[in-house]
Amino acid sequence: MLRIESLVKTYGAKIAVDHVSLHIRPGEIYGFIGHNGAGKTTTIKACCGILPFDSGEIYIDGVSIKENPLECNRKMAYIPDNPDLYEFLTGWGYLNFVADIYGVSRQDRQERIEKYGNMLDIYSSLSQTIGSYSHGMKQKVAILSALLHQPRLMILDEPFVGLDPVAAHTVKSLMRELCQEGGAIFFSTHVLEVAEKLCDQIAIIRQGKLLVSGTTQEVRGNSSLEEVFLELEEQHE
Amino acid sequence: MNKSLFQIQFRSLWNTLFGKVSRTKKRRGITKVLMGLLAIYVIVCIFLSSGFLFYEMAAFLVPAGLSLLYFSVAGLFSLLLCFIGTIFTVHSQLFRAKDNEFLLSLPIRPSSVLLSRLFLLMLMEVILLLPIILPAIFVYGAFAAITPLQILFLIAGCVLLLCLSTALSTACGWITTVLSLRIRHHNFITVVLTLLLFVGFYGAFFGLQNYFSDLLIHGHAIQSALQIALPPVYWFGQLCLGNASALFPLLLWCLLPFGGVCLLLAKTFWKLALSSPAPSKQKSTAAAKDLRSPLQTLLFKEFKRFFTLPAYMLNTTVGCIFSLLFSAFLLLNQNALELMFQEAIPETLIFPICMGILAFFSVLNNASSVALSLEGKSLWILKSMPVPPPTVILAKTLPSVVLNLPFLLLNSIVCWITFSLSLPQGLLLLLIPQLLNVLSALSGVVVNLHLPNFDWVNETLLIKQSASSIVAALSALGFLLIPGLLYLPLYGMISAELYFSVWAFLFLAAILGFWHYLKTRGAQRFNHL
Repeated sequence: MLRIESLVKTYGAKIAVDHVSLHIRPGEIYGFIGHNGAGKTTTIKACCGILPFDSGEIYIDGVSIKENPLECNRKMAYIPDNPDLYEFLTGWGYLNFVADIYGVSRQDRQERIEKYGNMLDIYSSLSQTIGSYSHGMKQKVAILSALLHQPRLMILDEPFVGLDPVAAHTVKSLMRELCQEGGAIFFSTHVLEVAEKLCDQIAIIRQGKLLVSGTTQEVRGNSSLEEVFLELEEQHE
Repeated sequence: MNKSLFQIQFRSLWNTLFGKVSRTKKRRGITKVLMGLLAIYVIVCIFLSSGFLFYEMAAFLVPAGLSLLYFSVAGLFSLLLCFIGTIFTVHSQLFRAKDNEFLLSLPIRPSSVLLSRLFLLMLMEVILLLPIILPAIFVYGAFAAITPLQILFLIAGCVLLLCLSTALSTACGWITTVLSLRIRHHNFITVVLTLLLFVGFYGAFFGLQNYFSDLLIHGHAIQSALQIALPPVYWFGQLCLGNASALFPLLLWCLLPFGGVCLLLAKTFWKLALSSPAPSKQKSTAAAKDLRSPLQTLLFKEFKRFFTLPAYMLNTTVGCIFSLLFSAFLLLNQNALELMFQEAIPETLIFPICMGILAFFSVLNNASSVALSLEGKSLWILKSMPVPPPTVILAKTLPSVVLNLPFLLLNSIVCWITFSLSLPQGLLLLLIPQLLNVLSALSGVVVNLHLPNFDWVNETLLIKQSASSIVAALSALGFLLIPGLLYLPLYGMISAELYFSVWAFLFLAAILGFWHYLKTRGAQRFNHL
């Protein structure tokens, strides 16, 4: 579903992502872990076509993001680490805007907004302007908007930040549901317990380089993910 | 701590004006040189136009012994310009700044935050004051001797006038903020109040010639009436003439209001800065809408943003306001105008003059020049969506065109009928302002693509004073000035219809050129934003 091949991204002299290669298959939840500034968000933004990269290739469902970014964007949904949405629109206004862009019919969008809106407990607040929302409410609207066109791939940057425990649980269930229907999830997180429990595959990145990747069981072995992560950090300091 | 606060405020102003240049994307030498040349050109233009105005005044007032009136008028101009230039910024800069909560959460006294914001406001006023005061003093020097003491007093007077204008604009900003906290439709109220101020300002501006004539005819009477009517500018004038005794009354007139406003702010700033405006009552839109095309929905979003930001609405539609006022003026003064044109202006000039006026109105609106920058931190939405960049760019261009179209059309029709223009003239009058409208909208987006600023804290400053909005406004004026200036030597040698037909083709070619650029290189640039 998502194939990253030897991705390189530099900012001036600094190498933010250094020959990173990953493969996320349909039905998988793939966790991306690393310390602050490790290159997670840069990799994620490159996968979404937001950030041009220096070399390498990224394929979404077999389509190159370099050659056909629009086709790739139609297949996926992206949620950034900070949900900066259009504050002058109401929740409904924003969701209608996103649904229009992705060509979601009136009936489909009504059904999906109602379903996911109620699951995330945001439906009743959709008539308010986004500017009046809390961080968590904005995050819920961002997640809801990402689900509107039923993407095959979801790329999420720190999706659980700001969510209440119930909403976080709902999002995890939705992620699993999407994977069971043949979709895939690629997300970054600092919450190692969540990654350990939720992910089928995990990759750990440090200073732009991939340290380890594989199934959750392969990566953690007999230890906890936290112990493995700290051990790897110490080894490379 | 205060030094750091001032530095941050200054950097924020700098970044808004000139855009943040990242360490990895340093501006190239040629860009720096071009920007420098442009800045020099703008400064020279402003100083020259101000200088000419003061020269005309000084030539009459100084020899007639009305130097006091000369300096009082200079003081009045400075005061008004500083007040009008900052009044729209105070509300957003002082009370609604996005970093207020953050700064007030730090162990800093609110008074320090307040002082740093007032410092920035006064800095902006200095930028506005210099183009008035410097030419005024230089021109005066050409007619009379100036002593070093006079220069010293002039500087002191300017500082005091800055305090007064800060007090006035801050008081207005305070009232707006208090109203916005209590009134639900505060956006509407802000727009109405600002429009009234606009109409007042431009009414005064258009009446400048009459005031100027009055000044020359009734100079002595006005000079003696100033002490009662406008004491601060009267005492400023006295101080500039070297009268030391004027310092005390001027101190009182300027520092008392400034102190009062500071006291008011000290008591209320914390509360006002942390209060949220009364939420607007939303109509129930709790429904999924019918599917629209990406362009339609992007346009809807752009218009929605336009109508929810009073500063955006007012600062980018000055041409529309002028157009409306001009149409009303023509319709209400039809007979007077006919007489005026028949007697004073040759008939062959009526059409070019109408064209010039309408073209001027069409290039005044530039909503597109900050349309991309206004995306700010939400730019990721547009970039992650399956929408081709040319569609996004078109959606950024069209609102400016659509908003101006009816006003310009109305103007063209009213001019055509009022001055009984011929069919070719009327058609050209319909066509060229609209072509310029499209051209300035497209060039605005081009400029914004090259001078984007997504790290703004204050959208009002971005709209009013960012590099993109200033450069776009100047380039649009270029589209007007080049044909206008070239016409002067050709007047009488070539028919106006033929001349403007050629320009219509040139504008059309420029529009196609700009659009081609936006679709190709512009789209690439958008991808790299």
